[in-house]
Formats: sequence, structure tokens, C-alpha cells
Amino acid sequence: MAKKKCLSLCLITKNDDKYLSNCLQNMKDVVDEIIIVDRGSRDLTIDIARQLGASVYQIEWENDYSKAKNFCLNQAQGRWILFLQANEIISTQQLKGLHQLLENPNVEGYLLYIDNLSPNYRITSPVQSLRLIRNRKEYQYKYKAFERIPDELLSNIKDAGIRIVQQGDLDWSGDFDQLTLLLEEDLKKYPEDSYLQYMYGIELLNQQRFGEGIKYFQKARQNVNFDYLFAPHLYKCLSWALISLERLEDALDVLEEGIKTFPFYTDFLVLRGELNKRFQQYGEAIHDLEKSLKIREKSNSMVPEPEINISIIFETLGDIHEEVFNYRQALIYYQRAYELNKGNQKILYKIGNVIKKGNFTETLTKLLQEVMEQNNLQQLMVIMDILFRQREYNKVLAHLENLESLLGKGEQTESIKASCYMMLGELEKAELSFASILKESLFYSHMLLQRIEGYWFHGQWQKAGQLLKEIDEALSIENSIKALYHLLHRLLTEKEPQYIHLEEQEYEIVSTLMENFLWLGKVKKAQFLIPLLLQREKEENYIKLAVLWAEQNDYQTIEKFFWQISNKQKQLEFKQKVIEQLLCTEQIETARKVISLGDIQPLGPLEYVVWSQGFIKKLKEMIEKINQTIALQTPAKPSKALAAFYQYFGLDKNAMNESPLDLSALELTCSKIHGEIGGFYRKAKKKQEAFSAYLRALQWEPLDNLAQEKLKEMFHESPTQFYGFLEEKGWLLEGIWFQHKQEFINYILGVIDFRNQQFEKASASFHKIGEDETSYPIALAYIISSLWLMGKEAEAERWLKEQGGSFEVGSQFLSICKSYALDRLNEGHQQFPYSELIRVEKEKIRMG
Amino acid sequence: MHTIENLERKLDCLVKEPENFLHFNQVGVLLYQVKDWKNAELYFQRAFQLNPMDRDILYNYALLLYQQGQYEKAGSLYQAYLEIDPLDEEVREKAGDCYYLLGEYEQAVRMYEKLQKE
Repeated sequence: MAKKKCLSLCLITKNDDKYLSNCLQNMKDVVDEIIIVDRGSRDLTIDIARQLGASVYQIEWENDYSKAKNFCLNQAQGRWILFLQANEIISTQQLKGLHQLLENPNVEGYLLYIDNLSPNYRITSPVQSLRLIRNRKEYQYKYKAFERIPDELLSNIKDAGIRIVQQGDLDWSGDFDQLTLLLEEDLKKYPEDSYLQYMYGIELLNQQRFGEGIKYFQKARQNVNFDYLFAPHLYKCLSWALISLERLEDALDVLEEGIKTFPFYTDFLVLRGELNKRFQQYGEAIHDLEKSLKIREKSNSMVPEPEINISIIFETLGDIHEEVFNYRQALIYYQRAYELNKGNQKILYKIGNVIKKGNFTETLTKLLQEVMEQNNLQQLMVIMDILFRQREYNKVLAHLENLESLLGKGEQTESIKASCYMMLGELEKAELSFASILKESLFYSHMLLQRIEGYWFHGQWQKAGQLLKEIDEALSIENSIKALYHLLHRLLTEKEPQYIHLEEQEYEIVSTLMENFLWLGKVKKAQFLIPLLLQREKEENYIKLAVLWAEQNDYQTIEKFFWQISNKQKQLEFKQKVIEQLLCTEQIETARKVISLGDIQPLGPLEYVVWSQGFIKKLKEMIEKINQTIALQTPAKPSKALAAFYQYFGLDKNAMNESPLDLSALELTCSKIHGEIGGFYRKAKKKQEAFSAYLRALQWEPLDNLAQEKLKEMFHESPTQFYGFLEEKGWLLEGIWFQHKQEFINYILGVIDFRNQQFEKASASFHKIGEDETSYPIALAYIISSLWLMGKEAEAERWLKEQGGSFEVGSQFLSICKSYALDRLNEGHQQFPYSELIRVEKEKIRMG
Repeated sequence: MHTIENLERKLDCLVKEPENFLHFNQVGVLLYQVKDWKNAELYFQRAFQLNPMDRDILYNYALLLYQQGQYEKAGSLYQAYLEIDPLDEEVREKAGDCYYLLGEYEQAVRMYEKLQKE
């Protein structure tokens, strides 16, 4: 008896001789039979098919794809059937896994996703990817076009993990119109069919008819069964069409429903992340995108699989982090995106950009080395361009040899050399390189203009003037550009200027020129160019230009640009970018002035950082003014017994292994140990014990921030209980700071009021601590801090000078105020947990 | 039954049997329930004087004193309790906490050490 065939390959053809041979050669050793149903070819399709061993059936075409496919199914003898088009192939590597899939008894069909290399991208349904199915009598296709085996008949579908590559483009232009007509016929016949409504929506989407598409998707949404293969894709198409029409709130509703209904179809999370990014809800956007990555990592069994490429998710995360000034995080994500998609030069430029902003030069050096080792010309050129834009002219010159070894020595590399030398002020070397560029060369006129700029940069006006005459004769330079260079020459030589309206290319020339002057430190010359650049319709460029002036800390120029921006949203973006630049060089005063430009607008994490930097700066100035040296105190270490108790306590709670006394416990401070014991007790709901432990932490280290915060919280939860507890004085007094219980009570009450920002009340409690008490210097430091935070800075300064003779008070005053700043930054951190700026600012305060 | 009525009944019992430590303990518990800490302490104290070896009295009296911040007295009562019933983990933990509050860390360690061994 003949062995039953395993796999039948089926194709429906018409005039496909261009690709068919390739396709059949690719598949013939993998399948057991090839069935071709031809719908009227007039070329060599049938001959090729027969030569390659296919069984060919010529049918009369009745404009019905289901009929043709069902005919295939009736002829096929294999247990499985694979449908391909003539222009499709599967890589040999991927084909190796095909037969293994056919052994799985629990699967009825596999999706093979299609990579279309054609530049005319079309949205397709995952239903069209169901190419490999079991050969069962009941599996029959339905509909004339976009044929489908109904989900009610066919379940247990998996992802094959194999991709089909669609080569070139068959002459589909006419076919698409025909398919749409057939789809319309089907829709007339089955008007309530959710699949047909959805497919028609997709066709409308492909024709950019979003509004009409939405109507069909909405109908399909009402009729669809969530178990259908196309259901998640339908939701995505609907949300996509809504986003295209800027109906963002409606799109969000659809996405929310999609996330709830299809939690593993992560494209919904990605799209919502994109929308949150647009709404500037960056925390939510990061959360959505990171969650989508986590789900993708954990589960790859979603059918149909999400379509949005992981490298795009990484890139979007990079964009968001860059937007909120998290340059380190942005770099990490861009690098991940680049690892997955090394051909994407755009990502490489983004990497270059954050490297510059975050000052991560080492990463660029590493990238350069990697690209040089791989001899990758395209990427090397991009990285050299990035280095050039970052004005690393010496590095560019040093690595030019590598570029020459790949590109060959010639005018392109000579022009790069010339530009570098010119910017470095080595004009003779630049001239030598210029000289090697022939007049007929494509680079010549560009370099001519560069030479003029070079002479301007280095004050050689006469030489520049001579070259201007030469450009007048150059035919390849447009007249408007010639006129611009003449105007610029007059402007820079301080002759009567005539300002003109600049076109895009001209604007680019002038803004680059201004940037170059600034880099060379010729601020006055750069300023001459500003009136040319202040043209209302160019306002999208103002942010970039103003950031350059922020580097110079030139508030007046920043202000000029600001007032040219009419849009409030852009004004906010302007402020954020400029302030961020000002903070890099700690120009707090200017940053504050920028904040108050125009309307008061919420600046997000920047608000906290500006406040904190200003606060700390003023504090340090005051300490310097009164000539205080800041002394570091050594906190008390625990006794062996306390350390042992702490350890047993920990062991009891964490059920760790038995071990001799852990030395790390002895390295902790008494305050830290009592603080942690307080934490344990609090978790165990032993309030009295927890309260006592935190009190004891403060007895050892009165400024312990954590213990203070915990006490404040516990006091807030049950004030009467803890006030009573304090007053009854059953608790123990330890440490060196407090000799009397009443003194300590006054201190604690003062601290709690201080942390609640009731400075007046706090001060009254601290005043009750007498000069003869040991804790007086800290109480005094708190009194001075209260004055300072109430804005009575002069009074605080006087107190510090007159009464705080010892440096102890100064250092405690600084600690208290720093803790206050850290608390405010913690508030900011809770509001903007993603912000690197706030985290770095906290680190700076802690370390400083 | 209502606590006050219960209390009246117990006090009647006490009048009849003024040396019965159980009655004193029960009155102490009822007073404790109505948050009359001061009187509860007096009744527990008397119960303890009449029978210093009763576990319930030791437990109740120590608990009340501990709550009142009288850790020293509470500590010695817990100690006495543990001499009678050294395996009671709850009391051992309470004693450990009590010694911590007293700043007697070595004693506290001993309590927790035993707790762990058991």
C-alpha cells in the first residue's frame, strides 16, 4: 500500500512565469506533491509547473477565490496543505523546521507571516497568514475574495515561527481593484458578516479613507466574536484609523477595551504608550511600553502575534526618555533598538545625539571601534558624521584614514579634512585640502562657500571678499545663495545690513553659521545673525537656537526667541529645553527668569530640580559667607548585644540560616539598627515597640531622616496615642544627645512640626530646649533652619553668626536643610518616578 | 451579658470570698475590658499577691503593665511566667520585646535565642 502523502503545496496561478520557477525549486524537495490550479495563464506558467513536477489543473475563472482554493483542497492528497503564491519563497533555514510542525497532533492550522519587500506597504489581515492547514473535508473556504475558513470550523491555530518572503510585486494593481469589487459583492450578500466588514475596513484604510473605514470597523466590532482569529487585529485597525483622524480619546477607549480583552496582544499597549507620549503622560507611556516588552519576553504563544517590531518599542522608549532628559536610559534603549536593527541609521543618529547631551563620549568611541572592526562603510560614515556634528574635529581627522581605506582617498575625504582644519583654525592645512578639489568637482562650489565661512570665522574679511567675487561666477551656485553670502558679509563686517526673508536652505545656512560662531567664542558675530533668524514662520527652530544661547547664559537673546513663539505648547517645550540646558551649567538665576516668561506653566521634574539647585546654592553661599567649616560626625556604633539582638530579630523574621554574629550588624550605626527594628515591629503591627525603636534611633542620631519620617507618619496615624505615650515617659533614654526626657519630648514635637512644614510651631518647641542642655546645638540648628525656610534668611544668617559659634550648628543647619530639600525631591520622585534629573539631583545633594 | 453587669456579679463574689485570687483576676480582666487601667492594675496586683504562681494572673498583669510603659515590672512578671511555662513562645517573644524596650539587649537576645532554638 502506498504511504499517505504528508504535505501538499497548492498554488493558484495566472501569468506567473517570472517567479514560479523560483518558488517551486525552493519547495519541491520539502513537499510531497505540488498542485497548481491555473486560472487562465497565457505565458509559460503551465509549462514551468509541469516541468517541475506539479499536477496542473486549468479552471475556468469565475471570480471566486474560495472556489479555486476548495478545488485545490479536493485534489490534494497530503495530510497537510500549504498555500503559497507564485512570488513567495521560504528560506532554506526556515524550511528545516516545517516537517516538525506537522507532527503536532494538537494543531489544526499554522500562521506563516508574510514579509513584503515591496515599498507599497499594505495592511493585511492575519487571516491571510493562515497558510498551513490540515486536510480535512470540513475545512472549506468561504467568500469570493479574501477567502477564509470560518473560525467556527477551524480552531487550535498556532504560530509556525516561519516567515514567507514575498518577492517583487506581482501585477496586483488591477487585482486589488477586482478584489475590492468582489469583497463588495460578498458584503451585499452577507451585510452583517463581521469578517467582511473588517476586511472592507482594511481596504478603505489602505486607500487612506479613514472615516469610512471606521464605520465598517465599528460595525464589525459589534458583530465580532472575540475568539475569531482577526478580532484583535480588528481592534487595532479601528484604533489606528481613529488615531489617523486625531480622534485620540476615541482611540484610547478602543485600546483600553483591546487591552482588557486581548491582554497578550501587546500592540494595544504600544499604541496606548504612543498616545500617552503624545499627551505628555510620560510615566504612563513608559509603563505601557515596558509592560509590552515584558509580556513579549514571557509569552510568545499569542496567535495572531503582535505586529509591532520590538526594535520600534525600544526606539520609542528611547524617544520618551530623551524627551524627559533621561539621557542614560534613552541611550540604553536606543542601543537595544540598534542591536536589533543595525541598518537603521536614524537610530544611530539618535544615539549620537544622546551621547552628546549626556556626555557619554566613551560609548561613541566604542561604537566607532566596533564599526571599524566590521569594516562597515555605511555605519562608519554615519559615525564620522556624528563626530563631525559634535565638533570632535581631531577625532574625525584621526579616523579619516579608516574611512579612506574603505572609500578610497579622494575629494570627499579631502573636503572633510578641509572643513575640520578650518574649524580648528589651521587655515593653511585647510587650504591644502581645498586645493586638491578640482573646479569641475561636485564638491567644489560647496567648499567654496565653506572657505568663505572659514575666513569669516577667523576674521580674514579681505580674503572672504575676494572669494565672494569668485562665487558670483560659479554657475552651480544658486543666485539666492550668492545673494545671501553677500548679505552675510555685509552684516558681519558691520556695514548697513538689509534683512531678507530666508527660505529653508538659507535659514539652515545662517543658523549653522551662528552655531559655529558661538562654538568659536565669537558671540558678537553670532548676535549679528539673530535678526535674520527671528522670522515668525520659522518658530519650530527657535527652541534649538535658544538652547545654544542658553549654553552662553544669554538671557536677553533667549527672551527674544521666546516671545516669537505663539503657541503655548511650544512655549512650554521651549522653557523645558532651555532650562534643562541652563541647569547643566547651574545657571539657576537665568533658569528662574525663563520659568517666569509668559504664562506660568507646569514644568514637571524640572520644577523640582530648579528649586533644589537654587535652594542648595543659596544655602552654600550663606555657609561660605559666615565662614563655617562643615564637620562630619561619626555616628555611634552598636554594642555587641544590640547587634546580636538585631541579628536575631532579623533571623526570626527572615528565617535565615544559623550563623555566628554577622559582622555587618556591628558595622551599622545604633540609629540604623533601631530604625530597622522599628520597621520590623511596624510590619508586625506592634505599634508601641515600633514607636519606641524609632525614638531610640533619634536619640542616637537626632537628624536620622528615615526615623524622623516614620515617627511623623505614626504620629499622623494616631496622634493622641503617641502623645500620651511620650508624656507617660515609660520609654528609655539612650545615647549622648539627650539627658532629660522632657528635653527629648520637646525635640520630637519640634521635629514632627518641622517635617509638617509648621515652622513657627516647630521653632516654639525647639526654643523650649535650654542652652544648658546637650541637644541645644541641634535645637538651635532647627530654629535657624525654620527661619531660613520661612524666608527670614537675614535673621537666620544673624542667628548663625551670633549664636551658632560652633561649627556643629552650621553643619547641622546644612544637614537639616538638605534633608528638607531631599524630602521635596522625594515628592517629585513620587510624581515623576521615571525622572533621571530628580534622581541625579538627589545623589548630588547626598554626596555634596 | 453586659460587662458592667458581669462586673457587679464578680464584685459580689469578691465580697463573699475576699481572698479568692481568681475573682480578683476576673475583675481585673473586666476592668481592663472597660479600659479602666488603673483599677485593673490594682486588682491584678492583689490577685498576684494572693497567688504569684498563677499563669493567667502573671500574663494579664504583665500585659497591663507593659501597655502602661512599666516595662521593668512587666519584664520580671514575664520572667516568672517563663519559669512556670518555659515553652510558651508568645510570652517569650513578649519578654524579648520587653527587654528591648528596657534597653537590656543581652536579655532580649537570650529570649529570642531560645525562641529560635525551640
